[in-house]
Amino acid sequence: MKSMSMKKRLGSTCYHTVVFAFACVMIYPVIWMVMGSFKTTNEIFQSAQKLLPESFRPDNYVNGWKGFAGFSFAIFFKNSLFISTVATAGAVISSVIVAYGFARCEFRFKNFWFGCMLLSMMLPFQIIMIPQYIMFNKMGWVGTYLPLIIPQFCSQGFFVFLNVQFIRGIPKDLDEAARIDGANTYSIFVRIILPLIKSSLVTSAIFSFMWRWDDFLAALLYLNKPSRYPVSLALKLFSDPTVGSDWGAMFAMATLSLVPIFIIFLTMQKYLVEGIASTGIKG
Amino acid sequence: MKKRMISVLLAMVLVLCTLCGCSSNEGNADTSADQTAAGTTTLAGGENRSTSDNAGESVTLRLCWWGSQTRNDLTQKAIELYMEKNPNVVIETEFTDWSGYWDKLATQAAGGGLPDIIQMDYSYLNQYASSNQLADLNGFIESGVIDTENISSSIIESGSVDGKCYALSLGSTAPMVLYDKATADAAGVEIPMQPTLEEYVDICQKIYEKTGVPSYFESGITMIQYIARARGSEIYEELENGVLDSTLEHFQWVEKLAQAEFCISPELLSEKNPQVVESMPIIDLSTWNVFSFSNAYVSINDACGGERELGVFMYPTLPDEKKQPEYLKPTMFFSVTETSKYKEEAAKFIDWFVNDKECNAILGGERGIPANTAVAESVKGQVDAIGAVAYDFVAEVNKVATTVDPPNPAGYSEVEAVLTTLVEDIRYGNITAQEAAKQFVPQAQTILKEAAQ
Amino acid sequence: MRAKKKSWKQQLNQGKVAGYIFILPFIIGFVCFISFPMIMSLAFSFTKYDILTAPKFAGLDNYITMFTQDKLFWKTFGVTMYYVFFSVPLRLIMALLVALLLVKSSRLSGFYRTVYYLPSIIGSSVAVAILWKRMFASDGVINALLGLVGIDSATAWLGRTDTAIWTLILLAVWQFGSSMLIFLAGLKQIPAYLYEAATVDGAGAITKFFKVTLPMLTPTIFFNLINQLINGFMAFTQSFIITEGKPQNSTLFYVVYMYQNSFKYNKLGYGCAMAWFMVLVVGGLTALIFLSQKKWVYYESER
Repeated sequence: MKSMSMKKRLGSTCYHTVVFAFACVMIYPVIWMVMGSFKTTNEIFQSAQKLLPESFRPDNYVNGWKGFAGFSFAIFFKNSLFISTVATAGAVISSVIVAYGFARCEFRFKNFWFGCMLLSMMLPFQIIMIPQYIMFNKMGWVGTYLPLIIPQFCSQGFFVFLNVQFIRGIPKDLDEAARIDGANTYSIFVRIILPLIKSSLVTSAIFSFMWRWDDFLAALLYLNKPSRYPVSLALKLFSDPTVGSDWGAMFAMATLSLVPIFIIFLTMQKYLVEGIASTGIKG
Repeated sequence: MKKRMISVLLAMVLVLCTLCGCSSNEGNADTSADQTAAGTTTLAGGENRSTSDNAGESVTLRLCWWGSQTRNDLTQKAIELYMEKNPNVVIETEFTDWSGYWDKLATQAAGGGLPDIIQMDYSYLNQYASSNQLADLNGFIESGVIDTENISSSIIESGSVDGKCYALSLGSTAPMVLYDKATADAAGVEIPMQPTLEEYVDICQKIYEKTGVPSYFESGITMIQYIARARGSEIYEELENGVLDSTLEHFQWVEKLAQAEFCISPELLSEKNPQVVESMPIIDLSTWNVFSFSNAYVSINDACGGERELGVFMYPTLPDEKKQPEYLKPTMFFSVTETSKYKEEAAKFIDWFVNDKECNAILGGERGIPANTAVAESVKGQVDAIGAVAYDFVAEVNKVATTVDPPNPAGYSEVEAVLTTLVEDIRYGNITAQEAAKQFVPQAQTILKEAAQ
Repeated sequence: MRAKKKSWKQQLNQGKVAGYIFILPFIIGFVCFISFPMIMSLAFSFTKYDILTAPKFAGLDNYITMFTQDKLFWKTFGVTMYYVFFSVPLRLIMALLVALLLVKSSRLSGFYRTVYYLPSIIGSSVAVAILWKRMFASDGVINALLGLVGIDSATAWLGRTDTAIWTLILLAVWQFGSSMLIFLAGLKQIPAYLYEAATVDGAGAITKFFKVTLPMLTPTIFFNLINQLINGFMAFTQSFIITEGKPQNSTLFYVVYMYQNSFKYNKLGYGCAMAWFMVLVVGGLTALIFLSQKKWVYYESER
């Protein structure tokens, strides 16, 4: 008995050592970036091997937060939070609805539409950005957040596909049983399917928030006033290849811009664990 | 569960409605401006629609530029001063980083949403001017809206394409080699203001022997242009006609200098990209020198830590030069767009931006040395010892400089890309100068011909 | 009579009607926001279009130049294929292995998941570009680490044509977080009773992995594979901001070259032609994988 528990403990120690050691390798560059936010631009470029800064000066944060032409990062963060939250809610909800249609309903031209969806994932944005700009300009949407947000409410291919895969993994017996109890297509979606694909919903939400948060190209094209810029676009403004970039300030603000995503991930990741396995649906 | 879903959905719809509502209210001003601009593009047939008199009428101008934090802050401050002095004018500013700027501008041009005033670069000027995106400023110069009394005619010319002025320079810069003075002193070399290439090789050799610090030789489009100038020719003209001479001479120097032991290895050079200020090889003394422009002097000095003394000299010239190749070139311009409804107001603003001493006292010559000589003089008093090096250098260049080449033709950036790859090939020793020249010139000729169509 | 004419409610409940109701958001989005730009870009691919002046019809010129004259086109295509061929499998294997390690619940698992996901959070920001350049610099950490193990190296990893592309592949592998998260979600969805049944049958850990975990995970693997394949071909930022295609175009990705053509060289028509060729290639590969899924992907709902 004793040797059994010893063995178990040894196994557990081994597990933690391996996972922890590897975690250190993984996280090193991230720490380097955070440390970089306390270094001057020269220090970043001259001492690549030194991890710790000469001193923990907050200068970069003060200087970076100040922002540009009177628009501080407080404004940029507020804008980013607004765009990312609304867009994420739109993308997650619309995508799961569409996914259910593809995964559980039989209708004509289903494969055609699914193909269209995949196609939309394969087109590089750089190519469609000019026609898209022309279109949004005609609609009078340029200069507003609408081009950044409304398309998200029309479902995103990646999340649709993800949810489709997860819904297809749910046994159809459950649907049949619910139908016998008088449920229809819609109530099955809400009552049976949605609770069971929580982990894929959470995954979608994390990804969507992160991608909206990082997206700068759409913001660059469609927003004109600096007072509407999101963080991702503002970060770019620190760099100017011709007369030198302020990497210190950029690192500082880039580090800060990780915080919201980090918080989202921390709070969401525990819902990831609550799949079927732990809620324990038994056959 | 169902109720909760419904309430969540309802909340979403609410948010969406308020969002549409508020943004369409707020966005009204600029979107309507965009739409009218889009409308006029399709109508534009070359007729001059410049508004006659806007005095008293309230005018909104959109102005955009690229640049750093300092530039954004200073420009915004100057613009606020202008709006204070001209209460009928509202200037909406837009700024982005360099690479995003051109993507955005191209997209806006295609969609008909260009701002009224745009910051322009020498390399993009031709392209925007010849596709009728920019307004001809000659009329405003003649009528005195833009005062050019203290601006030399060569500067007006540098913003002109086919005799029409499309852009007004905001500052001048000149090709400049920066070097680490301590290293040169340790090697005991005396560097003339402009060495010949042979002298330059000797200097590199000596410094490497005495101190072990390698050297860097610029091989890109700037240098090939420089060598062509020294030969009394013009590089794009040669390329358009398929002439090999300057290219071959340039490549031979590249080959000679790349294979010399005193030269930085191509691998290391690729890592310490000399095109980007922060990674320049001079910073950690991977080389004792670097080729750049005078307006980057202060930032390179900062990147080196600010404690080392950096000397300067002009790019090396040919031993048998036919013409002084050193030149002054505009760092950037302001242009008025053809779609602007308020061209005259825009021109007035540019005039103020270029000629007003109070305005330039705020700007502090951040865009390069002001085009207006009187303004330049007054701004020079403001700068510190480091900044003064660049001013003195440009003054020195001004004594000998010959006129800058005309703005780059369409297709130049593809030519530049081909050149970069071939020079890399020479550096890595994959190809000889002769072979490279024979490949480069016909390729460049085809590209330029196609782009000109 | 009644059987023939279904009530409005019954009709709504039928798959062929309900299906369209559910995918309505997608159809609206596709028709409004995607189809027009898509058709426009396809049309552009048959023109010479420098963005600043109106496009001129050029027939198949762009495609002909692309296939017969542009050496760089094939070179960048090759570079991208190489990158996809190595980065996609490596990244997926890495993601799966780590997901298997982390699916085990322990007090620290939340912490571990976060740490392993962090590199993906910093994503493709400019900070990563600098970071990666500095790590692989001749005086960077990688060489310092090699020095610790006794290998004296001053290699400029980003300066050599044979190693530069591998630093980008490594970056892709390092940022395996998104695939890992999807694998984790997939693993968590495997019903516990299957494992219990396997235990009753006396299966060991390895048997369980091959008989339960792997088959049940195939829909997730399938998804990740397709998605990573598409992403791999569309890779842009790494090459664009870290290496800028250097040295000697050995890291010039297809999409970067397409972008350069479209915006730097002002040949948007040519860029569009390149884009559509890529869509064809990626679409073909995706279709192949889709056709193959009957052979290896197992769906619980289609038993």
